[in-house]
Amino acid sequence: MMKKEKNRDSFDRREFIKIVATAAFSGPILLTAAHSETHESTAAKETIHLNEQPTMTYRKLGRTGFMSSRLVFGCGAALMGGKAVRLLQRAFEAGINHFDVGSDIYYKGSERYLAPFLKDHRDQVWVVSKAPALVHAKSGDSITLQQAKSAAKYWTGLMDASLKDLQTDYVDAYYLMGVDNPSLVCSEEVYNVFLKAKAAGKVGYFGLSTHKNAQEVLQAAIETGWYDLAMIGITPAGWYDWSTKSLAQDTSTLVELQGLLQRAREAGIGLIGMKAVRYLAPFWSLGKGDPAAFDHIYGERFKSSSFNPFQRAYAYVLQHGLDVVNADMQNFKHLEENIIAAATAHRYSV
Amino acid sequence: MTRAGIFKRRLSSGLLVLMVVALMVIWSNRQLIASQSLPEIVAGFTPKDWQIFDEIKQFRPENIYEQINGRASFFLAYDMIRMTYVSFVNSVNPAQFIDLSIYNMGTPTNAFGVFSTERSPEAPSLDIGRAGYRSGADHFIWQGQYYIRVISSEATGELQRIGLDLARKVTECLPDSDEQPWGMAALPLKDRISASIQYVKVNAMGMDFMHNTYMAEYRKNGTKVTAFLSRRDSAESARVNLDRYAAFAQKYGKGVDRLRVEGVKLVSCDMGGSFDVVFHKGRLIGGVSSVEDRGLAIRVATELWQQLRLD
Repeated sequence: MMKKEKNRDSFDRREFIKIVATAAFSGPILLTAAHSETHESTAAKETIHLNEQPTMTYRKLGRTGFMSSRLVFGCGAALMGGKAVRLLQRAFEAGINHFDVGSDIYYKGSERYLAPFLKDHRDQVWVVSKAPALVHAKSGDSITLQQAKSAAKYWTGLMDASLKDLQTDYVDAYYLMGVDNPSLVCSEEVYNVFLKAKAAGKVGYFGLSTHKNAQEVLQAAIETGWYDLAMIGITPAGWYDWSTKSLAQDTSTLVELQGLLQRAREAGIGLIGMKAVRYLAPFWSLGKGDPAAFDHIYGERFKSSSFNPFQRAYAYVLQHGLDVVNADMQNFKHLEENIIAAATAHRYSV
Repeated sequence: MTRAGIFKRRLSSGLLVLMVVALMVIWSNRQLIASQSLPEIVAGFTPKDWQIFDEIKQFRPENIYEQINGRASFFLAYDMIRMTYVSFVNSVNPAQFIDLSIYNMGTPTNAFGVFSTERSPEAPSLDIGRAGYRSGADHFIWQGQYYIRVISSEATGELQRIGLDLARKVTECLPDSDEQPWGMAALPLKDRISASIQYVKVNAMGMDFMHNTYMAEYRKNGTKVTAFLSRRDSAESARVNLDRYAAFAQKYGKGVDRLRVEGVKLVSCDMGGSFDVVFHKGRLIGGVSSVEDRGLAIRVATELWQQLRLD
């Protein structure tokens, strides 16, 4: 076990140094490799390129046209109290151009701690925030008109607070956060307040995040035709459900979900994976503490990769229908590991 | 005695009686928690014309994620023991709600950690519990080993008033051991910016080896400087940690200098655009972080070393 850990770490360092060194001395070569990987999904007309570096690969996010780094920096938990604020610059230098944060009501202080970084790099990165549209309703309930109106008002109030905390007048996208109720997804009241905010120049694109009842939520989002982005809780073994802190009951595997993900992409929705490795994480990080839990899913190519279990899970979801993956990174070690996974996932194409 | 004198004497006697009564009320409230369960007590605080939505719930480390989702790992990192949650809804307008969450963090240090990390420095402070602040109509309080959050659906004056009343009642019924987190006293008060001190249990400054760390902001020559202190089990452990810090700076920064200033051994880390200056003293590791002016960083770190008392 000790030996395995040592080998894994030494791979990380070696691989990271190799990537960075290659970028420094042979930038164009690796850049070509990165770009050739991104050709898969770059057919749309207008493409937005920001802070693209040879140390990262990029993928177009649905109809937004934005070429997002395949690793999204999940700032919410990491920036609470400002503890990981230093990682932002390092992430930026490595070519991460997509920063995802959340309302102060949820991730206290994170938006404020992101603000100085944005001030320096606003034109070079995409920034997304999100807030819950709170309703007292269960996943399967149909929300009432009054509930929808209240949820919409609450959500836009938090959007305004986000802009203030981020010290910006515009975010590239704003999500309905942690949605589990399809009737909320289909609420015209909520969509209309988004359109109003968009018309006012506060936000560019509409999205949602979901990790409970996610399949139904994504299907509802596809049917409305309103959503540009969906951040979904998904693992190599299928849907991840926060309400059980486990895989969703009777979930199909990620391979079996390709049809649904393809439909989402055809609807112009950019797909962002989240919670891809949470199940593997230790208990205090809300996982099951079993890094081998997805091993039965992987084919030989992934099994024989030098990735550690966390990197392998990230790389796998990136190679199976997710445009990009959002990771909560609270220290430099995890940032490095995830950069390697995102930058080299395409070597294990299926 | 003059009339004014008699009046003053009666006034002060009256004030004394009032203070005694107030203290008795607070004391009796705090005894409640010993004789009743927290949910029972909280139910008794339901505002007039409001009702409890669904039921009062309690969460343990194993299922806290059900209520607070991804933020659960933040509270678990501070060793949360139990969380009591209730949502009150307005009986007349059910769209209005006030959510109350009471986190039992096991120790005042852990409770201070989550409170201080979440705190908005600019938010108006509240004279409730050990420390508290208001943000819109939301209230956040640290009381002993408890962290209390009162979140309102709208930032109206009415909800702010009801939320504040609720926050006060809840806080007064929770016991406080008066144990002080060590770093609050260890970090010097001089030039410290009010309400800037934080306790970070893991991953301080994004470093996986920096745990049990207090951080605070200081105003030095018109510049904000972040200072930190971290305590280890032994002086040897602190020294090893300092070496790890230097290795970290070597890897991610642009160079490390070891220097001696006024007899104090310092490690100056060029982080590329800013400097960390770090030392160890006994089982403490301390220093300043992300200071643009190297000279200022060295001076403040030296002062910090000189002001530290070893326990």
